[in-house]
Amino acid sequence: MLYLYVMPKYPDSEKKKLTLRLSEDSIAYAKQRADELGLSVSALVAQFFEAIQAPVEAKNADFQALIDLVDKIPPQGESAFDPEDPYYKWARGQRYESRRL
Amino acid sequence: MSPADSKPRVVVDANVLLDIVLHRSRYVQDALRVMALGFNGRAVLVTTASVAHSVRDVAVRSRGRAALEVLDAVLRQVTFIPETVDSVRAGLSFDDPENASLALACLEEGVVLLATREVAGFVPFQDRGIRPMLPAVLVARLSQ
Repeated sequence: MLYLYVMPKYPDSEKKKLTLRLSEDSIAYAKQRADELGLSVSALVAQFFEAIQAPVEAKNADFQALIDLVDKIPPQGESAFDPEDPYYKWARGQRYESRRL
Repeated sequence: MSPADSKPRVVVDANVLLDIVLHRSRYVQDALRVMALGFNGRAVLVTTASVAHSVRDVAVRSRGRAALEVLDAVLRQVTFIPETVDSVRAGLSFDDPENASLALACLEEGVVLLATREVAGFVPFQDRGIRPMLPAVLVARLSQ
């Protein structure tokens, strides 16, 4: 049995723990390949998952430009959403008020 | 019929745009996958001017000029659909006038696919044909 943590690209993203049940032959082969590549088995499997999750389509240049712009903005975890932002307060208050009518 | 006519039109809700513009780490990847549908020519992405203005207000207040650049890049790939006076007025009678006006504007334009994280907010419009879906679900549906 092999435990694997799959970490998405962004550090605040949810960690997902996957449990793989592999045959002894598969594990032996994975260990052999991992040794050849100088990796741990977990790192090898993580690379495999990353590869199968990669988009098949080539990225459009404009889309890549958008991703580059997004990457310039520091990631915001959910706990950092500002509930006191006037826009949110207004929207929340409006919903609350309208439901009281 | 032009190629654009045969593509599905997808409404992008404010929360999905904000996930990108504010770089909300938990949701940004799914939101970018929705945008990729437009950039790769697999769907026509649409929204309303009201949604864009709301997103702009929050973006500028929260993240400053860098967020505006992101919003600009996003909106280059998004077409605006009109919000008629009727849709805004009719929306006012719902609990959530913003969602209602957006849904009604979509129905007037014949757009039914809606990418949103607030699926429950559009339940009142499902029986009229609006199909609200989480970004990841919508991308999976259109990729089938």
